[in-house]
Amino acid sequence: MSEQGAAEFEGLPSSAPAEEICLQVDNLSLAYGDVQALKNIRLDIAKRSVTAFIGPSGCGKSSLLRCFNRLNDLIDDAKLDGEIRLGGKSIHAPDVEVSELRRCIGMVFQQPNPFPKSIAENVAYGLKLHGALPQSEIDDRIEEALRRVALWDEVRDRLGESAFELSSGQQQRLVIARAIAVEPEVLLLDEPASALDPISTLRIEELIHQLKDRYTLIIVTHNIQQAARVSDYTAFLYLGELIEFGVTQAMFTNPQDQRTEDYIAGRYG
Amino acid sequence: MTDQVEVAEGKAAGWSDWWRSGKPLVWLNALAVALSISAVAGLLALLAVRGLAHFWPAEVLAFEYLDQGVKTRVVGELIRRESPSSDGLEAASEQWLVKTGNRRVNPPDFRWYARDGIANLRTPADLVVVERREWGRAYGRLRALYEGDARVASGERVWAEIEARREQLQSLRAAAADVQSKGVDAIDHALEQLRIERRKRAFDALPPSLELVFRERELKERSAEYEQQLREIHAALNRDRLHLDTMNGERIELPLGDLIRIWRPNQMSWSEKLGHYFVGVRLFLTEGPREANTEGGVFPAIFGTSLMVLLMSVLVTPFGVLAALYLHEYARQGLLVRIVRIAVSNLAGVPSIVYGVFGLGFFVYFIGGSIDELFYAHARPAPTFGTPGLIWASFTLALLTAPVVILATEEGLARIPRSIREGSLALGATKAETLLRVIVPMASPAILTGVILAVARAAGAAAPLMLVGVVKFAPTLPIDGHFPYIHLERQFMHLGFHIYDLGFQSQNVEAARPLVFATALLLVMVILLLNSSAILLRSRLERRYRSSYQD
Amino acid sequence: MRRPLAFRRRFVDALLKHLAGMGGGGVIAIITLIFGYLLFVAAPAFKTPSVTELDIIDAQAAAALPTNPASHAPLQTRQRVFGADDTYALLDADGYLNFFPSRPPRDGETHPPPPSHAWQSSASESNFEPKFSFVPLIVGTFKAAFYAMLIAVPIAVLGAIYTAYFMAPAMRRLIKPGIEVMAAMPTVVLGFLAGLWLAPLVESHLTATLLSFIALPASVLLLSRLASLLPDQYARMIEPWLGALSVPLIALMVWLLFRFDAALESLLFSGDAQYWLRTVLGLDYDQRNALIVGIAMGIAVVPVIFSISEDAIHGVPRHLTSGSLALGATPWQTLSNLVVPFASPGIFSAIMIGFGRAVGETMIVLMVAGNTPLANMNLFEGMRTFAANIAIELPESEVGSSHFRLLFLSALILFVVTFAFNTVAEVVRTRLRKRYASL
Repeated sequence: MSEQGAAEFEGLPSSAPAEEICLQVDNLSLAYGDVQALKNIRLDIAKRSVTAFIGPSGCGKSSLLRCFNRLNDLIDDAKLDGEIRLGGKSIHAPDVEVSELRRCIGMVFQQPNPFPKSIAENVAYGLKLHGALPQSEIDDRIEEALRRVALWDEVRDRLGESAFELSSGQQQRLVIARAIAVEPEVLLLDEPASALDPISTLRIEELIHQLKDRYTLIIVTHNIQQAARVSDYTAFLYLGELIEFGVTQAMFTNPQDQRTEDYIAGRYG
Repeated sequence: MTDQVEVAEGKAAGWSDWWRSGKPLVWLNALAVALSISAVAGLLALLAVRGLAHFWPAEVLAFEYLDQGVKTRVVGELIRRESPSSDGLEAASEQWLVKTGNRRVNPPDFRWYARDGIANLRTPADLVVVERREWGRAYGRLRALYEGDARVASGERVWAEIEARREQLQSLRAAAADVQSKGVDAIDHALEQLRIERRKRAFDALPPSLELVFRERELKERSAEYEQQLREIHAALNRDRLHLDTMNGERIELPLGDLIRIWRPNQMSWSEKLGHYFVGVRLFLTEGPREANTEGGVFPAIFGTSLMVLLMSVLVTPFGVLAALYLHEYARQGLLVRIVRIAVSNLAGVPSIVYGVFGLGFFVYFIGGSIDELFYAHARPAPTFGTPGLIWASFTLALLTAPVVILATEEGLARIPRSIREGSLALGATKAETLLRVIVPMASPAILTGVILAVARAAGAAAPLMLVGVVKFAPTLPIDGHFPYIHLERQFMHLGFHIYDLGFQSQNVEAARPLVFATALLLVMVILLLNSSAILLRSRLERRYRSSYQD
Repeated sequence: MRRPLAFRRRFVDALLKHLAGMGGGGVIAIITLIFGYLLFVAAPAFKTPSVTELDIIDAQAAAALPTNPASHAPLQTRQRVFGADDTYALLDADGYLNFFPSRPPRDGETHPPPPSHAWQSSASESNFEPKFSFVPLIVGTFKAAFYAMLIAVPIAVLGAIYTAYFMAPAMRRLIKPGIEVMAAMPTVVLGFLAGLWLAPLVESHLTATLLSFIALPASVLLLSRLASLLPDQYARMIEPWLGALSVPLIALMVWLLFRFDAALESLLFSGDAQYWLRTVLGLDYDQRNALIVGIAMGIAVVPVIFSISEDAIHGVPRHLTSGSLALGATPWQTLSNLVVPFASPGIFSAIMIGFGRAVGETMIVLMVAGNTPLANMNLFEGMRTFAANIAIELPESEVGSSHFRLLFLSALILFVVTFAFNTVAEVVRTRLRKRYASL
């Protein structure tokens, strides 16, 4: 469904090749005031794959992620150069609606952030924003989204309860369900498991595996093993620069850059 | 504390060591806190004791008083004793202030007696206290009950007769009130409308209308009918008359229609006194004032305060919430926001009387005057909106309390983690949708806290209100059965101002004193209740966020 | 992503943004409007008809200006005159501004009454000349605020120091909201209690009242000395609870003083404190006086000052104090050398805000101060403040008259003074908050 939706207004041919490019980052620089957060980033993100951004704290990986759905717009003194293209069209073009863009590019945050509403209302929140649907349709979509994150069986009898009643692992899966309910093309995951216990982390990683046959996923993580486990491609950022980008397996076995090797070996945290 | 201190203290036997240890200063600081607590507790206790005692049926004393060879007999309630210490030079005796009532036959109703002159002090069981519509309380013995000119009962049997007539009196009173409101008042209102219409025609230079004349004649006829009905009911109410003997042998004649309550405190049991007490509290809360506010209840003041506060909340809540949304959600943090913040803190700090002056000048004279000129030109020179009234009081207090709502809302907004906002925006919600669907509902307890605090502030504010619409006695409530039902231009009564008026403007300070305490207690209780619910709400809110979001 | 947003969504988004902007702008607009309107009404009191500003040096020069209302003013001293259609103001030789309604000279009159630094807006006699000098009102306003601060500042600041620094946390959680609830106490209630209950009580027990100011601290110090003889662990145990433990002591001392008031009075003042005041110190005594105002308004202002200073002191980072304690300083030394200086901007702004409150407080002064416009600082006499004067006279004042304008002018003065105090306090507080945040 998401493919269709995307095809419809992106004007892309529906028979895309397997390695089709979804997002293109072209010479992107970002500054907060005087602080240069990102420098001349170039990378292409393949459709229906998992790309991991790794790097030490403050390397700009989260900033880069927040460029994709233009969340940096909220910061008063953020200044952006270069371009990001979704399906070949710049996301900064004047005729782009930010809220439509953000519907196409969903995001999951480090801390589970359910709204103080019921479980069902949380999932339905995005749906209700983007046009009036009949209640039965909404109910179906809630169920589908919750099934996809494997939460349905756990919460089917208590959809009306507050989302705060869930454990933080469940909350994080609920938040993912909330994001995929509006049928995005891309899902941004900002350290989605860093606040969770190991078992919940494992479930999120499984989930990422399952989601990738429908969505393009970009995950920021400071956990190198996690990047190795879940991602197809990995980008290593250091001090705002993209040091290395490539197929995960290749990069972890044979890093091209000394800094990448040092980081993977755990020489800086 | 460190080990060194202990060593130093261990040796602190000398005065200078003691002083140098800093302990005495700590004790002094503790004294400051204790003084504040004592002031709070003392004030509340004083108000509670004095305010609640007013409704208790006090014993009625009877004694003989010898003053310069003249012996008089006195009946009344002991209000307070004063020790003679103030004039240490004379060896005077204790002074008793006694409420002797019976203001009509034997004024004044409060007198001082020296304890030395009092003899033969008793509390006779057959003394009655009568609360009546006019002339304050009466004290005496029941003598007789007359129905017209016929004596129905005398002595102790009068009591039973009054009890027997209680229901009939009540229904008569209800009938009178009914005729008054549905008949007389309605016609007065219609006549007033006619008068305005006639003035309007005159103002527009139209010829006098015959129809108006006929309508007026008809109304006047009906009015006469109602007046007649009312007279009949009053005649029935006043048919029965109670005769009381005072201690000095004067007779008080009292139409039963004027009787509100009658009781014999000296022979009441504990449970009867308790019942009497609660009836007294109820009357205080539900009745209007009598006798230039020195008797009766405070219902119009409660009503006026509540209505004004309600209107004010309707005005201040949207404004306060929007200003807080601007400050916390929309504005770029910079010079402008700092100016707005300084303006908010100044709004909070400007003396309330200045708001009163501004309200009187700007709202009443300027805006109200302009409204009159535009829409009520026919009613001039008598002002409609160009005079202090409910609506201007609400506007003025909305300005006064805006900072309270703004600050509380902002605090609530600041407590909502940023990730919630981003979560909503990341789903494609616009900023307004994020605010209206998630953020404002989450901040609503904080907003409510702010509104409650604003209401508490407005309920106690007296200074600005006395300039913009509060009066000591308003003959009509701002809400009644006549179109447009809420009369925003009317003047109203207010609890805070009522206290000032009772305590300082009353001709009969002693009579008003217990009522001031009761009114003040009521006001303080309402305000404390509002404030503690706000504090409770706030702390529950804090706990909820702390448990839901750890960041 | 190029699908245009539904019109409704776009509209609501823009609407809320603009409404919020109006809300924020509204705050500034209100402040400006209040200031502007008060100025607009009050300004004609300064308007000059023909001569903008005039230095009159002698009678001849004045006589040359027959239309000027000041032409029949007493001219022995150098004066500066502002005129208006119905008012003229004299800045007299002492530098005080006096206002008079202008009128043609009456028969046989060469001089109107000289500027007398009096406020007298109405009287029963017919050829009465109102006197509008702000001097007694300025003195009265300052006097009321001064005595209130004299009582409130020590209690509030010392109390805040103890609560923030020495008190047991369990007790602090109760005490702080308890005192802050006091801030919600309507001043009309405080005023009525002070006027109707406290004023007569103090009048009849003046000696006891005055002695309590000395006896309470003295008795506490004495107890502290006794406690220092106790074994150390006990002394340390009671210290955090002193705030509550001193309450019975206060009650006992006050009761003793008031119980033996007569004896103390005859001992100290040979029987009559008021007589003693009048004959020995030459001070008059009114029942409603500055002492009562000070106590009542002090109680009203204490919670404001207490709450802000307590926040400032409590907010001093612990690592600063523990550093000092680790160097061997006693808690009191740490407090007086480190904590209080660090928090002093907060305490300063608390006092400023408290002073602003005291200057503008109306109901307490109205009910307790007696409202005679006297220009002295006598603790035992009343005063009339700007705020009380407005409350008394504005409802009776004729709209547009010079009296009316001068009352607006006094409201403007109150506004400007409190505005200045509050702005300084807010700026200082913002700086302090930044300093705390940076640590």
